[in-house]
Amino acid sequence: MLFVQLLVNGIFAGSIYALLGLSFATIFSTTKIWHFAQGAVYTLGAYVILAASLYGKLPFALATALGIAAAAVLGVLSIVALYRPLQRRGASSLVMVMASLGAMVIADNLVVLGFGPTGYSIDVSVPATLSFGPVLLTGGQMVAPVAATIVVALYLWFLFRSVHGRRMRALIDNEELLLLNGVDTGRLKMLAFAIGSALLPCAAALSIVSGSGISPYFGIQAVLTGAMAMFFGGVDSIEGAAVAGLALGIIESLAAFILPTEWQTAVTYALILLFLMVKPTGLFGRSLPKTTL
Amino acid sequence: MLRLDHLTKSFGGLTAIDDVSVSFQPGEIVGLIGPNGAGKTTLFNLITGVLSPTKGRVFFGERDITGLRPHRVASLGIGRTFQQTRIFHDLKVVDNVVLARPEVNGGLTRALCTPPSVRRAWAEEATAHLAFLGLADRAQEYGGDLSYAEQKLVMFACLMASGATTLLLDEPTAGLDPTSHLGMIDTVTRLRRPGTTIVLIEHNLDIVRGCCDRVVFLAEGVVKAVGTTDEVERSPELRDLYFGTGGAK
Amino acid sequence: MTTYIVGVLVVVVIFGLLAVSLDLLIGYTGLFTIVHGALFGMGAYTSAILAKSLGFGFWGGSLAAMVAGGLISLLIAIPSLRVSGHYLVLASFGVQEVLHALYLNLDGITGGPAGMRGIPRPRLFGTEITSNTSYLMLYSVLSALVILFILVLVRSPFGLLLKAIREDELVPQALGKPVVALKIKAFMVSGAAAGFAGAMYAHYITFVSPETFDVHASILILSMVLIGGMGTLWGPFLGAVVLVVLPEALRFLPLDSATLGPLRQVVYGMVLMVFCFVRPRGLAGGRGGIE
Repeated sequence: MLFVQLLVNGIFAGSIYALLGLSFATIFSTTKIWHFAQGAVYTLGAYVILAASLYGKLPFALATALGIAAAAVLGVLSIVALYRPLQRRGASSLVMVMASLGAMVIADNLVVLGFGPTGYSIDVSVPATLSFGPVLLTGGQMVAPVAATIVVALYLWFLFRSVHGRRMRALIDNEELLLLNGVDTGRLKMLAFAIGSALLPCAAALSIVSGSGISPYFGIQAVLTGAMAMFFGGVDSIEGAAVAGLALGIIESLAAFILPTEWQTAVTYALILLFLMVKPTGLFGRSLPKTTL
Repeated sequence: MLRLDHLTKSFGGLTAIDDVSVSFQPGEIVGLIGPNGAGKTTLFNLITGVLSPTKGRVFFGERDITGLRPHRVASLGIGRTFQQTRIFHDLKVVDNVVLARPEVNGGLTRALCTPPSVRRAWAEEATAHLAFLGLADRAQEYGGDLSYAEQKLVMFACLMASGATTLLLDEPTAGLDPTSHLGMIDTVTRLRRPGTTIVLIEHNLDIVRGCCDRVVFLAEGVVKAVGTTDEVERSPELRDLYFGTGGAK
Repeated sequence: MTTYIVGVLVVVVIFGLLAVSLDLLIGYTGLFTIVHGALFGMGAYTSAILAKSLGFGFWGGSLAAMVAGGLISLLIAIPSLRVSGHYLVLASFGVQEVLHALYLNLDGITGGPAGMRGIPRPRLFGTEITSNTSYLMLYSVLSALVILFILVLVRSPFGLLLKAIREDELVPQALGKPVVALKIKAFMVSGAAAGFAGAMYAHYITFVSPETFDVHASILILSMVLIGGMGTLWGPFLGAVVLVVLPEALRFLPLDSATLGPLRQVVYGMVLMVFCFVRPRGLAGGRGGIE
């Protein structure tokens, strides 16, 4: 059954998108910054995994951990070395977005200069492909949703159960209240950037595990997918972005049922944008972000 | 004529405007008074379409304008000012006023085909409006360079240029020092034309007494009284409510 | 050598128009979008496709290109402008990626990754434009005409309203101005101009391929506007001069083409970031941001 196969593919893609959505949502909802440089963090984090695996000969799990650490550092660097200094200079949000884009362009192209424009793939041992009748389930497609669920669950536990997580969520629409209570919102935002960025190599790792390699040009896609998932889920609902990401993956995959593959992404985005036009708060959001752009 | 018919506005559990029915006649100046938080600006927002009422309707002449978007309401002839002065700092004062004209409406062909002679006529009319308010000599300066009080007057000039027949003035004396207040009575009275309705939100009862024919007293979203300033003022219960002394609800 | 320099100037003229068209949107209307690269491509591909499949020349093709650019802008603007500025960023970004993907994947129509070759050169009064010098003369006039149109627009009552809306949306609404309709019109003019630039490009290089019109192109055009100075029109043109000429200097370094492309991008990115930090008002001293 083509439909089930597409569903399976969709769930796989959706688990990656869920992580991308969570990542973008964590940063945007708490700081309202359009962090395009996130694309650079994704690319650099993925290439750290690559370098650690291929050159450092580290086992994949360790390489991924290294990538996560690197991404977290880069995330913190983004706010500390890029956005804060600009804010201190009185830069408008537009200028910050431009600087963010600039950083992304520089990083992506440095990677191309260093590693070449073609992608790399890493062989990771995964369970063998199973088949259920006409439906194929590759090892990667089995691992990804499980791994993604674990990561999402861990993250949601953090968001809802830990003090810092709850404070981060409070940042979304209650920054003044936090400040009045003596909470260091600056540190919280750094945490948001760190955690949001740390999710990216997880998504990259799932991509690698499924056999699609990494390329220096996926960073932009990662940002767009993450942003789409976030708006779809609702800007003020970090957890909503995960569900929205999954839904996005499934919708995109199922679109192939009726459309040629070239049009899948186009139609999916069109549907989401149409939906947002009708319900701007997204699936789970409560209020719209203030327009400062 | 502006008529509010059983207007109600609730935000979740809070009822900001509760079953308000009032009419404003052409040619009169009406004061909308009441304690802070009574819902006066909310009422203006409901009339101008910034907010949609939960219940009730707004009529302008024969026409039901409930829920129309702000620019549509304004194009029908209802103009408003805001509590903070909001003129365009980056534009010249005369351009601020020219902009208010109904002809400047974003029509591409019209904008491109307006000959310089017409634009000069517009500028002259704008300067005339400014002169009426005593600002003719500031016409060529940038909005941002004017004093707060002068900016308020520019707002009025814009209202005049827009051809609005109903003027909703939201606390015109807000932020002005007391010596300017008398001038405001004069200005508002001079804005009166036959057929023009002026509703002003004011806290300063001297101003209200000085230029309003009638007063609507609003508290906690409900119309407590309508009448002349004297009538409304003399009632002791209303004084209590206004100043918060004694037996409030 | 002179042919080469003249050729660079032709590209300057094309991108200058692109930058000015984006300035109308960002600098004057205050709308931030990341889609001009795709609009540029829309014009280029429309003209190219009409030329190769229906035998259109440059003139017909560029007209169609303007319509195409305007239409896509309309498509983006209508939903976005009712929602929010953030939605507009998302929608424009989405359309940019989708259009680029379509240029890349619709092999039958666009030639896929290999692109389309053999786009005819413009014909003026029967003669074909072939030398860089004649291109420069023709394109300078055409570009100047469109830029002049935008200039007149900006100085007209329409432009006055745009400046007002950029500063404060509430008052124009309270004065009865149809703010959303206005922004849509500005967007369409901007998109049509970008489409026209695309047609000029296609009929000059005589070859179009998807990678010219990806998100990096959008970022490049944005950079030209920022570096030049938002809201001045001539500033972004200057920005185009800088960002077209500067990387050309890199050509004279002993590098292979595989390194040249990414290196150019790195240079663009660095210039952009330097300006963001040091001189966000750009060379012409523009507005430096919406605020």
